[in-house]
Amino acid sequence: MNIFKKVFDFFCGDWRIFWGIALTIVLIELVKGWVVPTLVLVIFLLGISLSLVFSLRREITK
Amino acid sequence: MVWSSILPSFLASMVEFVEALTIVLVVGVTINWKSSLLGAGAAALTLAVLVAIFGSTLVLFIPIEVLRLAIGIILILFGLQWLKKALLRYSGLKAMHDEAAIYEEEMRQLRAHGKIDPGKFNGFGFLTSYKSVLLEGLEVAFIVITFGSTASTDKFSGIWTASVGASLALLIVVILGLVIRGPLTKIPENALKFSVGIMLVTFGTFWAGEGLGIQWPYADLFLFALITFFLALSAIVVNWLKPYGIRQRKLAGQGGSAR
Repeated sequence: MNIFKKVFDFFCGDWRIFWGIALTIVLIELVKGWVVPTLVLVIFLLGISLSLVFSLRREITK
Repeated sequence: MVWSSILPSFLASMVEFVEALTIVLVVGVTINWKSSLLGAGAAALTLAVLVAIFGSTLVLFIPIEVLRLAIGIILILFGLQWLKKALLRYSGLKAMHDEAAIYEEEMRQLRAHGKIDPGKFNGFGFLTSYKSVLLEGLEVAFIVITFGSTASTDKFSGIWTASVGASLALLIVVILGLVIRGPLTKIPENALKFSVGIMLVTFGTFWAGEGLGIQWPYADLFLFALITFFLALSAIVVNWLKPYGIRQRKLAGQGGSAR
């Protein structure tokens, strides 16, 4: 179990960022056939930005 | 895009090698140079083997499209980690990395281990040097492999150019270390970490986007738009976090004066 945590900490280290990016990718896969390409691009960048912002928000509420 | 594999590996390597050199110098000064340099050399050899094994595995067995999506996602996760730490440091919510303080602390810990024969090989010194170079170098190895294998269509030459970037950084850090013979406090480590974070997230976004089927406007030129976007986002985030950093420092100051 410890080794998995170490691998996770090395590559990511933050569950909020991890789930934020995972959700963004799932969302992109779901909507890319339905919406215009520019909107897909906007959703992708918004998802990455919000993952960072939510992760930082936890730091200030600690 | 040769620069896209050389520059990130050069900058990231610079940061990690400065940190590793701090420990190698401490072990060299407090224990002896023989154990310290042997440890660092053994770690460098281990890293070269890791790059050769994992690099060639990626090059030979995984198609570039799959590689770009997988590595793009990992780079976003990896880069956001660097960026987050740099932004927390800029806003004052996390202490700046102080190589001089780390140097002094490591010296104190090693001296606490008792009297050491400066002429003899020392296992503890060897392992301390080996461990620090290996741990710091792992991130460099990861960046060299990922950027090298995805930045150009010829994956072998990509890994080679990324390795050149990392080797150049090692050379510069070692020369500076020899000249200064102390912790490299003059190197703006947080600014370097921030730049690497921006690059990792930018390239990660670009490659993962390509893997997801996003058509970037103006192809590779859109990388500059992504860099601008993440720089602007960082500026907004630092502005947002700064008041919290000031408040935290005030609270820490009050706590210190109350004691």
